[in-house]
Amino acid sequence: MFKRPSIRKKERTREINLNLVPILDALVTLTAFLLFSSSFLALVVIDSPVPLVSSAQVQLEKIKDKPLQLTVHIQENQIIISDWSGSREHHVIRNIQDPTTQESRYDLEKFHVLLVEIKQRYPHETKLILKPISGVAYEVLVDIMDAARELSNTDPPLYQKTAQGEQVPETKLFPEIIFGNIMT
Amino acid sequence: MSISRARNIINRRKRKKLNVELFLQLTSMMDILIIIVVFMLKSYATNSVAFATLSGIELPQSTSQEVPSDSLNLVVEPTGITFDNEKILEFNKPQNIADMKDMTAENTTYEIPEKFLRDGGRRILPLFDAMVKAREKTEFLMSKAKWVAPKKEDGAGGETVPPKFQGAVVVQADKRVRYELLRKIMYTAGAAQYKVFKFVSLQKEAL
Repeated sequence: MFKRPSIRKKERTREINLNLVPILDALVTLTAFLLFSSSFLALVVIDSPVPLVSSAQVQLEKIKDKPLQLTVHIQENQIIISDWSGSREHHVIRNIQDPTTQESRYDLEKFHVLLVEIKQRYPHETKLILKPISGVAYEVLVDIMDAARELSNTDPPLYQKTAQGEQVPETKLFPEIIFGNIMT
Repeated sequence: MSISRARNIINRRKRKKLNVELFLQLTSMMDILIIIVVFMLKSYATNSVAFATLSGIELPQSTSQEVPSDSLNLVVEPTGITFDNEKILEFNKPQNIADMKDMTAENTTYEIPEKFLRDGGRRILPLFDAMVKAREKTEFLMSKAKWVAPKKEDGAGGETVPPKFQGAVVVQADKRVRYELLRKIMYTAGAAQYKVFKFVSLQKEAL
């Protein structure tokens, strides 16, 4: 025979089901908003200061220090690297033919190697003056600036002596690039 | 089989039918979404500067590591030049193009109309006016701002000095733009007392 059910209330464990639908709605909306507003393009910048015209006295004082004023002339079929007088550094890099496109292009590899050699001779020089011709494309200018600014992993290590006499490894080649023919 | 036996079987099957409510497992979906949201929030917070890049422009690639800072934006579009989100001028239209909307980076001329050029064709007049206006506005706002110079070791500093105009302009241009146009832009910016150009590129992944 079945027992008569007890009149005492028995506490039964109730399952609480959390309603996740509104939370899910909020998360989906937030994800959509963040997706629309986020940027998947890694943008970088290359700085270039405007050339400033200094007074005659300042220029005379600078000449006494014998500055290198390394200048890169970007011409149609060649790149010429020289100092302000042409006596200390003068190099001509002719264009090469690209093996894949069969088109003439600037020899940026040789350009970079020459700049590393110049940097080894003048470790305190950080400025480079660019003088391209009118028809040079913007992407070519950026490639040339990259080759002139950064040291690559395959380059020999460069060291610079500090005022205290310590040898500090160099991380940049010629980071200050100035366009020298803006005013002409 | 008798009819009563068949009815019993049918009734048993009906009784055995489970009336169970199906619950969709949202827990795993919630986990995925929370991880995605946390990742997006983290990458959103580190990128404080937002640049609007146009779809018609193909930026060059660079190995530079410097991140763009908050500066005035100059964009060389296929149709013209835009400065601080305002169209300054339109380039000359090629003869084979009927509408300016059909101009792309491949078929545009990037030629500035002669009436907008001064100083022997080096200064772009509408761009110069816009840049001077932006500079004066920035300098005015800076003069009203209070800026306390950080104190140096010898005790100097701490005075209220208005910040100086940095004169930086961010240049976005298609990779096919010629140096001739960039030179005019840089000359115009220099004449308007802008001191630094920041050329925007896409980061080239190191090999």
